[in-house]
Amino acid sequence: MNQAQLSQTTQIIIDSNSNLDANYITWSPVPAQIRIVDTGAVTNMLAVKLRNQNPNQGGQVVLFAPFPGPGRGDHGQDELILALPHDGSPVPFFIAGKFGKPSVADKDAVIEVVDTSTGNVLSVTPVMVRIRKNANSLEDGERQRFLSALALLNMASTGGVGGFADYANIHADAGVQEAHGNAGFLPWHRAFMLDLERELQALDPSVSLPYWRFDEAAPNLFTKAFLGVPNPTGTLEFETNNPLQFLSPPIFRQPDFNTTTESAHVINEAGTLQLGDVYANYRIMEGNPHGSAHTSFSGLISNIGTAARDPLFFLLHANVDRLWARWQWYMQRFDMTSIDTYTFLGKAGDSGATRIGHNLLDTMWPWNQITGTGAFDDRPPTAPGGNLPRSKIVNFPSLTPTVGDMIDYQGALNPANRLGFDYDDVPFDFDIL
Amino acid sequence: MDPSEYRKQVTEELQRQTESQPGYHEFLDKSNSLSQRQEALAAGTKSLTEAELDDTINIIRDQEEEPELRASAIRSVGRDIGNRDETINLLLELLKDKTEPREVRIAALQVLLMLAFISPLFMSKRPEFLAALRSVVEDPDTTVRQAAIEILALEKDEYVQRRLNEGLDDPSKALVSPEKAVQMLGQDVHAELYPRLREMIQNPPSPAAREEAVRLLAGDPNSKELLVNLVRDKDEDLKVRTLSAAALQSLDPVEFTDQAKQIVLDDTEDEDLRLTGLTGLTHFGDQPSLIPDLEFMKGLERLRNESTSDQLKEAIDRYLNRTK
Repeated sequence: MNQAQLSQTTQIIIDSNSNLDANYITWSPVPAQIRIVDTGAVTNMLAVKLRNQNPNQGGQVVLFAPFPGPGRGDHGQDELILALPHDGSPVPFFIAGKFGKPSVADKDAVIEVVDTSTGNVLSVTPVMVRIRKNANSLEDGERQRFLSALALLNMASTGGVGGFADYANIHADAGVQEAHGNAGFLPWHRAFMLDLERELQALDPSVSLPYWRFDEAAPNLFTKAFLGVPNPTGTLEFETNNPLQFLSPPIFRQPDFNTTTESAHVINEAGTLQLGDVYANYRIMEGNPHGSAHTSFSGLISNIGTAARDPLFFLLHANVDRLWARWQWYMQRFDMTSIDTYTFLGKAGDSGATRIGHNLLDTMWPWNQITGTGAFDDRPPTAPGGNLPRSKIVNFPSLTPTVGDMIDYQGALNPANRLGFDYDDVPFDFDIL
Repeated sequence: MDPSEYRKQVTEELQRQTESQPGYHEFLDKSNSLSQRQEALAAGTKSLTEAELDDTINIIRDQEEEPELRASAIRSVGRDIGNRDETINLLLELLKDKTEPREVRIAALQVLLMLAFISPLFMSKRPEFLAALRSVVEDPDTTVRQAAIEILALEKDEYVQRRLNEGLDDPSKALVSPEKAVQMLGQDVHAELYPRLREMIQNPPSPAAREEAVRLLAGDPNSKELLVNLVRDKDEDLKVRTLSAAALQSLDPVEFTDQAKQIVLDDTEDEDLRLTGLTGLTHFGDQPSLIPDLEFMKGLERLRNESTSDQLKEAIDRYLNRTK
């Protein structure tokens, strides 16, 4: 029974947002509340059970009692019993996606509320456990939704020509020093991926950015049905039902490895995780695996000025970001007062600070829309692309994010800092709470 | 899975991998086999010490070593050499040195490209890098030559653009195949290129060059009629027709919509072309002319009922879902 067919006796509101369009969750627990809406039908306190409607299919959620709430002692449970006042007063609880059980389709995680005494279903609330996944393992529908949104975004932002023009321009020459060769490399690219993902979600809210795990073979990614296969000249060819065939100008990309059986020329994930236990050491991953993944191909993707014209760029960088997220989780590096988490804690101009844009409290170009002379220690002369797009599910960061805004992306230390995304193999760290 | 249990699993996996990994000294030990040395190199995760870096550079320089190992060593030290001027110079020399094996030269080129992403120092070395690339555009090694030309073309390098045009004018001077030349010139399209591309449709130096030319005509307002003719000509090569349809979509979405509707409903047309048309209409069709077109909707429903192609049926469903 779907929501439209059911006479809803109870109502669930997630994260104070009654707009059903906002019912997208990640692994991060968020506050929710439930109340009786049909107060005339109930005369006493009503005991209800919240649960996944179908525990064997679709995304799954875990639920938390309001007290003490998510934390070291409570990683969530599949069912939750609550007592609802008959006058319609709301009862708080917490909800999160169940790690390992992300959604496959839009709103395929359905929370069912049943009357514990009769077993009657009182309401159903569809949500999506929206998680970034390994591109090589996507279901057909997930792949098609992503490709459609990507093609539509390119068309909308460029009029059909220019190939992700804004993104390419941001990442090209003017942005090199803002985004590369310094501590801000990882936070800047996290914001860059978030920018693209939010634009995609404005077109189709069920889309999340998949990642290319470049230390493994990805036979399902480098196909005509997905990111294209080069012809003998290196120009990508696509299946006739793939909207990327309309990308113009055409993309060329030739791998220097067998994409069906081999990884790119990169150190593996375990090696990356062990580059160092403090940020100053870990960030050398900018060279290998990041740079090495780019240059495992010839073509647009291997050149810093053109890389973002190739859609692969975004999947490559989603994986770079995932690797950082995984390192943050494993090493518990979310505390923004610690140089173990990030190297430069102040702002440009402070004693011991680094180049502007790479200190924790600096705003990031181009989202801050600040321009300068383009000199080594100044902002670029242009700031294409505008502010960071807003999200329908979180209110963070501001339109002009700082480096530090990218650190506690799950809201592990401060729930207000959630950025609204997660990765399929990076859990929320309840033990840090 | 419980997150705490997951952390335990990851920790155990990391420990297993750490214990089984060979040390960096195994790479330096020449008595080990090639595969042992490469495995040791691949396992290296920490930044190299100055001494280790010097040892590795000695192996990179050593022409007695296997080219594969030297190439792997070059790739492995890339992240550690970004601020060492003399090592960047070494990579530039390896790239230019025609006596060096291809693997070594390509690895040097890859690391130089990587440094452009990560090394502030490399910005000051860019002129030398571009000069090194120009010095190998006539290299006897096809792979090195083509790689250099590609990078220069992406940099909109006027010298290489002139050489590519010369090669199209006079095949005896060609640095690369005509289709590669067209593709490379397409990285910085000037208005004067389009007449050459249009001419290439009539008198192509190769079928592949013709295809590359069609793709680039997507940016030429004067090619609309040519593309429409290519799309409509049932005697034309199917791939060229399909590419022309995609190019027309970029150039003139309204004209594409008109042509694609006719193709999709034409039962004598090839399925691939119909799919391209339908995919284009689904994602980029001119909505003001599509939505009220009930005749087209009826035609699609007929096609859906009559077609034996699952792909076509799925494409129709996607279209109907999108426009309903």
